[in-house]
Order: sequence, then structure tokens, then C-alpha cells
Amino acid sequence: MPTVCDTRSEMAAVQDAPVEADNEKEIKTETLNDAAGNHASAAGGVIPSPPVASTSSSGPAKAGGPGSEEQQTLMAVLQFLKKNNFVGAVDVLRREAGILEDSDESQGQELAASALGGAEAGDATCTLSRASSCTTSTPAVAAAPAKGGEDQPDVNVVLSAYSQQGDPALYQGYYSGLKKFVESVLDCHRAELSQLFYPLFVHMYLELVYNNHETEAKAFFEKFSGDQECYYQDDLRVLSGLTKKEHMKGNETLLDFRTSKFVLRISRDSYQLLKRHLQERQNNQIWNIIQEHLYIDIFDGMPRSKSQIDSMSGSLAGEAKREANKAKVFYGLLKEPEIDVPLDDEDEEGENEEGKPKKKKPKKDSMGSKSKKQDPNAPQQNRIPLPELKDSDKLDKIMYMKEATKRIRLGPESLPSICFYTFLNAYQGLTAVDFTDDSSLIAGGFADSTVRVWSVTPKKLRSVKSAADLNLIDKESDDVLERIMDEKSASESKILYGHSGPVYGVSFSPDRNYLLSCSEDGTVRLWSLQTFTCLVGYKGHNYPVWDTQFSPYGYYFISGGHDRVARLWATDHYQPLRMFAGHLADITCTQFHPNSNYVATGSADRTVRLWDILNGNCVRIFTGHKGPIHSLAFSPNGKYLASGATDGRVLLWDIGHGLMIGELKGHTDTVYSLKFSRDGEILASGSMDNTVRLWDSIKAFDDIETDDFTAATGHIHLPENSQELLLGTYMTKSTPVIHLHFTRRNLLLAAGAYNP
Amino acid sequence: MADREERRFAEVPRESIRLMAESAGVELSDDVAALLTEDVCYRLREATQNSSQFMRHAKRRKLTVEDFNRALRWSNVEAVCGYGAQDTLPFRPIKEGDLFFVEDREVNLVELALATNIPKGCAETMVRVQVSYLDGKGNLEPQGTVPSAVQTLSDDLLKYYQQITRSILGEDPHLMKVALLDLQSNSKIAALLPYFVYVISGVKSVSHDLEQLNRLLHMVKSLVQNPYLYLGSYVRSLVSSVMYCILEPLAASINPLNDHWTLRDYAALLLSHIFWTHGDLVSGLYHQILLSLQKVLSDPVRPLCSHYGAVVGLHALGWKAVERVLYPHLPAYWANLQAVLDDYSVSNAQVKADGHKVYGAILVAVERLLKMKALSLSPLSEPGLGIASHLHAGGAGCPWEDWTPVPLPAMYCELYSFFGDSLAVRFSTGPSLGNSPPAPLAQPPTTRKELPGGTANLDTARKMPQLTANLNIMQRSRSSSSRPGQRPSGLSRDVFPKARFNPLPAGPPIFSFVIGGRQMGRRCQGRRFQTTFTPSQPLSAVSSRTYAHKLPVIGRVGKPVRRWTCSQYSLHLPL
Repeated sequence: MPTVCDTRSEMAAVQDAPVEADNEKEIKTETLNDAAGNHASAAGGVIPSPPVASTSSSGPAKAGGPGSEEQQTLMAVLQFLKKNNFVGAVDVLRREAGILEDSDESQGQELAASALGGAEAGDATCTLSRASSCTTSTPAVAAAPAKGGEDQPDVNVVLSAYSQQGDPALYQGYYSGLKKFVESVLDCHRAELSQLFYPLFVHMYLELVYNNHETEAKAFFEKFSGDQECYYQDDLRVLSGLTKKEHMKGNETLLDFRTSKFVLRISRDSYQLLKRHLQERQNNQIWNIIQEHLYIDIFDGMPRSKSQIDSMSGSLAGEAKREANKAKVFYGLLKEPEIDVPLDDEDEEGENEEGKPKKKKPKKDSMGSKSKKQDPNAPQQNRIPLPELKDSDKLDKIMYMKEATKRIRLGPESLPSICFYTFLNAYQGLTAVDFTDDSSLIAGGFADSTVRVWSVTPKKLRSVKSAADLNLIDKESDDVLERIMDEKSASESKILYGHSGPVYGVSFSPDRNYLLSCSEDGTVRLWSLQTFTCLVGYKGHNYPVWDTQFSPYGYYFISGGHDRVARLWATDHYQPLRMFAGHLADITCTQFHPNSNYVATGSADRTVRLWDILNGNCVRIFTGHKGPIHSLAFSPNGKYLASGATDGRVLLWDIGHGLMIGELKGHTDTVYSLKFSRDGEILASGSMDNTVRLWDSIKAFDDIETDDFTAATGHIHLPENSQELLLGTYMTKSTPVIHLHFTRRNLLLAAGAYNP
Repeated sequence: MADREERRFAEVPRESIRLMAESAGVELSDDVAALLTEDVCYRLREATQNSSQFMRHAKRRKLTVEDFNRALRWSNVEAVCGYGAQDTLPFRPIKEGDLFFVEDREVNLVELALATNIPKGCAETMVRVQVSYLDGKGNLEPQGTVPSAVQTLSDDLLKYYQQITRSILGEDPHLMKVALLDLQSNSKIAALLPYFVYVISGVKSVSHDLEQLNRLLHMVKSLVQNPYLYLGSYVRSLVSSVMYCILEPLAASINPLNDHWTLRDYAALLLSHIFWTHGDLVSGLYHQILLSLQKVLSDPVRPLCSHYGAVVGLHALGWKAVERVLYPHLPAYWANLQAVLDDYSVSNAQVKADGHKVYGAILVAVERLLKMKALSLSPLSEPGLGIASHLHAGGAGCPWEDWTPVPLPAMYCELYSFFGDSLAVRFSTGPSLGNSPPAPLAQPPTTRKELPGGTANLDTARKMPQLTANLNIMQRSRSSSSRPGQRPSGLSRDVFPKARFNPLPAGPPIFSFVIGGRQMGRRCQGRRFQTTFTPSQPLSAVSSRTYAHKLPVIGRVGKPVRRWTCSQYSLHLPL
């Protein structure tokens, strides 16, 4: 078929053209916006819709031909070009492809379509109805724009996949038939096959709704919604509200469900059973759904138990595929730079009073020597370019090491003391808190768009003098750093004004010179803690930014928000360096890996993803939470990740193996804060339920045996040992705990606003 | 199920939609209204779902109007203004017809602008820090009693607190009674507990005022008895306040007319009450109390009233406490006491009177010790000893010097050597037992029968009506004048020193025991003075005085302080 070859090469040529590339970008942003559920962009969403219309109407004309798919693709491209008035390109393409008669035809069709739409229903729905009127070649329709346009399908295309016409009355029969079958199989397979219920239920319900069988849909929902696992209740509630085809447009949950295949992990035996059953029954409806909307990840080995399945499921799009967690992650820590530590010159003055020469000092540099060995799991030192250490950073490192020698070793027998920083009179609503690493400053983000910074030490906050005053300073004097500070501005707290919406995240830079804040207004702002003014407003997220976090080495930071995209920024670039797209719902929290090579993001789609900063790849997907994730914490050794969600549970993950290794149950409300102690022995969790809980993380990590099998399959038996791991529950009077911080000496600081 | 499903969510009725449209000047047909209604409902649900996100990220539990408006704004819908007030909006029905509306008062801006009462600004947002938990401890209390970062007391509670303290510490005894009663039964004062405990800890500042001390102790009692209060670690504070009243040489005791003895007695009773009811809240409490009592007792520099307190304290804690602390300490202490009692100088009169008090208290204590000890030998009473077994666990790990309980006969002999007949008199079982010396096993019933009498007059006994009689005996014994009186168990009571070392001259009447050298020998272990108690004839010739003078009179006794553990105590206190 030479023609097919022709068209293909033609397409490639078209896409290579620079003009086209620009257009591509435009589409991308539009579809992204659309995915974010903007109503305004529903209008934008119409723009790519003509391809659907044209393909669907031209489909029957060309149907039957073996190259019909390519034809449709071509049509779509043509349509798009025409829409954007690339007349020359249209002509060229038409000429090359040999589709001459099309221009009149398509115009005529557009007219007909609008007439049809006017007759049937309102404007917005006309494309939908047209799509539904085309019944014969739906798979082709679904596939065509996906190839020709973007990998991000647009609303109408997605929905049109539902235009299959089964007998609505039979749906209940199909479903209960499957239910009967699953109930009749052996126990060991039942749990696995039960996983099918939820995605099938949702897709069948949506099909019914889409095809305007409202009453049948309602009956179907009522009959079977009770069977679904309780952790899907939130999604079911959204579904239950959706009874009209019009509602499906712009509904985020629906789009999420549609754009990604629901992933199930099923053992080969169970899968064979299911397949045989469906083939015997000729149950095409269910088989189609499984083929089109589900991704069944088949593994060899023992079927999983109910508890194993339950621990891993619950996310919006099922479990993670096993391949998704196979990439190698360099979770080791970076080598610390070698700094000559003048150990304890002040603290041991008492000993040195007799004038003993400090002889033994230089060789006592134990901290440096320990980290000299390269961790085999650590990334290359320069895998990600990191900022060079300034003198002040080195001083701070020395301070850190000094403090570290005085650190209290924590454990089940020696629990940390807890200091609570209570925000009083926070009528405006405290939404975020952060401490500096040395615990000298505390920052609060508020719902009234302000960011406030307090000094926790007796040292007051001072800003640098104005430029005019700075001119008068003797720059040669030794205490010039002291002289530049404006003594008159000294105060316990400073207020930073600039945002125009609630501030949802704040983060100090490690060198304490900068503060980041992100807000509902869609910006991330960088503030100077020398002048207490805003330095940069990073615009990129067009929707609320829920969280932002500085890298542990400074310079880089990550932000994530309602647009489902996490962005990596550098403080000196006003555009993001990386965009991490893949979450199916809002990114609710972000966290840097201690080696700064990875970032973790938690999302409202109930998954945690780990992204490689170097190449932007998603290297881990962790499923198992049953609610939006609101807190993340890496263990200090970089090996483990803890995540807390609205369901009050904290889950522990082994990053290297990509496995869930623990579940900490105890909180009764959203876990808003997680933090490992400096040596990683204790995990502290703070929650909306007004408690801080301490967990024995050493034991939690030790109790798991990760043999080769579990590592290979990812099926792990979680021990039910939350109660043993819980070392203590500490209540506040009436203060939700929204931030936790371990000082360098392992004192636990907690913060929250008193809630009278 | 079906019923619940039907009203999964609130719905706006079609009529409302039509009315709203009418008010906007649009006539809706039935079909349109129905469609529109459904869509409105759906959009409302959608907006609500979106708004919950803003609530979650603001880390709140309450969905606000603002959250909803944000959700609307992000869906490019105009926000609804005018509902952002903090206080709830009154939703009223209109009389004719089913119409509801939100009351929206008109605000006169001129009035507001020219108003004289300028509203005070909101308090400054601030951060306050507090060490909530030290080393992970302090988490045992439920939230109500934890003095947490922010202590708020409602005005009512504060008023209650003021009233109660005022009436308890005030003049009116009737008011005090009422207040104490309420304190005993009020179920809502958990938040005030730290304040009351603080008030009570003020005992130290009113040690000159017996009346106030007494009232504070009553307050302790009421708090302890309140079944709704969880005292938690406040027990420690309360105990220390009570101990202060028991042990300290109160300023009030300088004046001999002040009856601080009764206060000490009452405090001791209270101590035992606290201990029995709340002792399990603080681990090692018993141990600590015993230690401090012992410390006071073994400190000869302390005034006698402190010693008295220690003795009554031990007595109140039960006979086991007496056995463990007082009894082994007696030989050393006795010497000091004897010295005081034998000093007839005028200047010593007051001290001597105090000495008699202590003497009497010791007597009462050992008397019960003996009785209970005898009782405990009876197999019938054995189970009762296990009551406080839960307290034993705490001390299980403590190193414990091998302590072997002194057998009853030996104990009696030794005590008899101190108290002579005055001890025997108090048993008042002399004649019957003396006449027919039964086997030791047969005795307990009789002893037990008399026990109620013995315990009933404990309080009066402590005031010592018999004390003078005892003293007479002692004096007489010194002057070797004989006087007719009871002759318990046929003992010769005329020669006190003799009796002291020969307790069983006329057979073993009451607790017929043979002083075997073996037993005495065992008792000698680690006890310096016991060696002198071996039944050696030569010693019997020595007068008590000479014996007493051999002992160090002033200064610390060289005996090592015993370290107690709870594990071997039985705290059974038959009351």
C-alpha cells in the first residue's frame, strides 16, 4: 500500500515543520488546562472537536477500507490546519495526500452538523451527540485522534468511547453474572477477581449514563454500589451525583478514570479462569470493557490474599504496574564535602584552661571520614549540578556537626521531648508552617495571603538598611555585616505581603536567606530574609499551588498544585526546569529526596510518585492510600519514604525495592505532618486529630523481610503491628498539628494554630 | 438502602428554580425548569466537592463560604457575596406560604462611621512555645487534665474557683461545708484541678495557722473523694502537701496550746486514704512515702512533733509499714526518747510532754502491729494480704537486701523489752490467756475477736488516756515501788528492766514463744543493736538506763538506711 506509506511520511513532514511545532504547544496547554477541569476552557475544548466530527462523519464514507484509520488521521490533521487558517499547509497536504474533493464535503458536513446540533440540543452537547450517533467504528475513532493529535485525549474523544450500544436492561445481568461467577470460584481466586468489580461497575455505570439511560443507570448504581469496597466511597459519591450525559463533560473524576487504564494485578491462574468464563458466556460487554479500559498486569505465582490486595489498592487508577517501579533509584546520600572542623573550640574551653595545646583536634574529624566512602546506592556526585558551598554554608555545616555531636540518641526508651509552638489569635487561618533547619526561625502562611516570620531565638529579625544608608557605611570595617543591618527595624516578627490568595505552603532555604511561599493565586514567591521583601514571583501554575519545597542543597525547588503538574524550578530561572506530569488529580504535597536527585509528590489521586530530576521520569508509583495524601517524609538515610493521608494512616515505602513496607494506623484524622528524627529512629506524625504520635521506625523497617520473591512481585505481607510500633500519643488541647520538626539535637518541635 | 440512596444529596426544588427565574424576568416552561433544576443541583454538588479541597488545604474541618466562593471563582462562576460573616445567618420562614429567607438587616453606614465605640482591633497573631512533653513522658493523663499549651478557663469555671476557695478558706464554717461537699461531687471541675492543687500546695505558707491548714486538708479530702476527677500525677503534689502537714515542725506548734497533734493525725489518715484510693496512679509512691517517713524518724535533730508525725504516718499506712520501718528503728530511737523522758528539768517540760506524745503514738502503732501480725498468722486472714499485690509489681526489680520478717514471738519480746507492761496492758487479754496457756494456733480467734475494740479506740488511744498510767509504771519501775494494777499474763511488772530482758519469766502466756538463740541469732544479721538482746543473764542485771546510755544519744544512728521495696509489703489494712 504505497499510499499509506505516503501519508505517514507526509505526517512526519508536517510535524517537523517549525510552524506546526508552535501549534503543538498551543494545543498542549489547552488540553492541559482542560484536564484541570476549567470550565472556561470547555470553550477551548471545542477547538479540537471538529476532528471528531469530521472523522465520525467521514468514517462511514471510507469505512471498510483497510487504510481507513490513516485516512481519519489525515482528516483530523486537515481539519486542524483549516481551523487554524494554515491555508498553505492545507493545500500542500491535500495535494500530497490526494484528497481533493474533501474541502466541499467537509464544509457541507459542518453545516449539516450544526443544523443537526441545533435540532437536537444545545451547542455544547452537539459534538457529543454527533459522536454518539456514530456507532460502528468507535475504537477507530478513539484511536485516531490520539495518534494524530496528542497523547492527552480531549474530552469528547474520551467520552465517545462510551458510545457502545448494549442493551441497558442487560447491564445488571452482566454484572450480577460476573458477581455470581466470582462468588463461585475458589477462595484463593475470589479476592483477586473481586478487584474487577469496582472498575467494571464504574465503567458500566458511565456507559449507561452516557447513553442516556438515566433510570437504568440509577437502578444499576443502587443495586451494586453497596458491594464496592468502602475506600471507594468518595468516588462513588461523586459518581452518584452524575446522572446526565451533560454532567460528564468537565468532570475531573470521570476524566481521570477515562484517561488512564485502571490497573489490576491478577495472577495468571485467576486471569485464565476469568477469561474462560467470559468466553464461555459470550459476555462481550464485560470483555470489551476489560479490553479497553482495564490494564491487567498478570503475574506468575500464588494469587494474592484479600489483605494483600486491600493494602495496595485504593488509588484512583488502580495499582501501579509492576514495570513502573522497576527503574533503578539512587537513594543513597551524597558525599558530604570535607570541611576541616575546628572541633569544639568554645565548648571545651573549660578543659583547655590550663593552656594545653589542642593537639588531638584535627584527627577527630569523624563526621568527614564516615562519609568518605561512596555509598553504592548513591547517585553520582554531579548527577545533578548543585550550588557550590559558600563560606557561610561551611560555617553552618560546622555548626551542624557540632550540634550533631550533642544530639540525643532516640529510641523506644528515650523518646524526644516535644515543644509546641502554638499560633494564637490566628483568626485569619494558619495554613502552613515551616522551621529553618537550625530551628531559629519559624514561618507561617495564612489564609489572609500573608506570610509571617518569627524569630524563635532571642535574636530579633532585622532587615538590611536602605541603599542610601548603605552608602554611608564604612565598608572596610570588620563588623560590616553587623553595620548593614538596620537596628530600627528589629522586631520579633515580620509580615510579608504579596500574595493575593491563601498561602498554602512555605519553605525556608537551607541557608536561611530565602523563603518560598505558594498560594492560591497560582504563584510561588521567593522572599529575601535579609530585606524581607519579595524577590521573584514564579508564574507557571495557573491554578492554586498547594505545596512548595526547597531542595536540601538550596537553589532548586519543587512546586505542585491543582493543575496536576509538579514543576521543578531554580531560584534564578523564572521558568521551570522540569515539569512532572502524570498524576491524575491535584498534587497536594511535595518533598525533596535528601540527595536532591529525586522529588516525591503526593496527590489527591491517592498515589505517591517519585520523579527523577535528571530526566523527569516517574520512577516510582506507590499505591495503597485510601485518601488524598497530605504529608511526605524521607528517612534521613534516603532509603525510605513515609506518607500520610486524609484517612489517618501513615504508609512506609522502601524506595529501592519500590515496596510498601508498613502501615501505621492510629490517627483518626488527616495526617498533615510527618518527620523522621535526625538519625531516623523515630517517625513523628502530626494530625488534624490534635495529636502527635511517635512511631518506632527502626522496628518498622527491621520487621520487614524483603526476600527476592517479595521484591520481585511486590506482594508483601504487612504485619499488623501498628500498636507495637506506636511509642506514644501526645495530645494538644485543641490544636491541630500541622508541622513537625526535629532540631539538630533531636528535640521535637510541633506547630499549629490554637483552635478555640 | 434504597431510601438512603434516594436522598443522596440535597436538591433544589423545581419551584424554587422557577421563582428565581421569574425574579430575573424569565418565564420557564415545565420541561426547561426540570432540566435546569437537575443541572443546578449537579453544579452545586460539583462546586461543593471542589470547595472541600480548599478546606483541606487550609487545614480546617469547617467548610466556609469563602471556600465555596473560591471553588466558584475557579470554575469561572461569579462568587456569591455577602455571606462571609463569621456568625451564622438566621434563616427565617415567612408566615404566609412556604417561603424562607435569610434575614439581612440594613446597616446604616453613617451611624457606623460616626459611632463612638470604636471596635478594638484583633489581638496580634503570635507564636507561643511550651514544652509539652518532656522525654516523651506525661502522656498518661487524658486531655482534660493536661495543662497544655493554651490554658483556657471559661468565666464560669473561674467564678466557681474563686467562690470555692473563698468559702473554704473563709470564716463561715457552714459555707465551707457546702463548698467542700460540692468539691466532692462536682463532675465538671477537671480543668480547675491544677488550680486547686496549687492552692493546696500553699500549706507551706500558712503553717502558722492551724485552722487554714485544716481547711486545706479538707480540700484535699474532697478532691480525693470526687469520683469524677482523675488526679493523675497531681497525686504526688497532694501527697507532698499532706506530708508537709504530717512531718514539718509547723510554726503553729511553737505554741503548746495549739493542737497541731490532731492536725497531724488527720493528715496521716488522709495520707493513707489518698494512698489507698489513688496510690496506683504514681508508681513507687508508697516507697517514697516510707522513705521520707523513715528519714524523719531517723533524724534525731528533728523536733519530736516531726517524729510523732512520722509514727502516726506509718501507723496510718498500715501495720506492715510499722513493721518495716518503725520496728527495726525502734531500738535506736528508743534511746533518744528515753533520754528526753528522763530529763526532769523544768526547761525540758515541754519537750518531755511532746516525748510522751511520741511514746504513746509508738505504743499504739506497735500494738496494732502485734495484733495484726498475730492475725496474719491465722490462715483465715491470709487472702486479705493479697489486696495490694498490684503495687508490688513496681518494686519487683529493685535490689532488696534480704529482709526476713521477724517472727512474732521475738518481736513481742523485743517490744516488751521497751514498753514493758504498758504493752501488755493494752492487750487486756492477759488474764484469760495467762491462765490457760493455749497453743499458739488457738490464739488467733481470741485476738481477732478483740480486734474491733482495739481498732475502734485507735483515735482516742492516740490521745493516750493510758499514757499517764504507763508512765507511772515506768517511773515506779525505776523507783521500784510496787503498785496494784493489772497483772497481765502473770508477768512481774514491778521490775521494768528485768521484764525488759526477761519477758517470759512465768511461762509463755500471750504469745507463747521461746526465745531461742537461733532466732535471735538470725535477727542479729545486719542489726547492730540486736546483739544486746540475746538473752544473756548478765545483761538482765543492767538497768535500762545503763543500756540506754550505751547508745549514742544524739547524732545519727549508725545503722544503714534500709532500702525498701514494695514487693514485700502487704498493705492490707482492716478498717
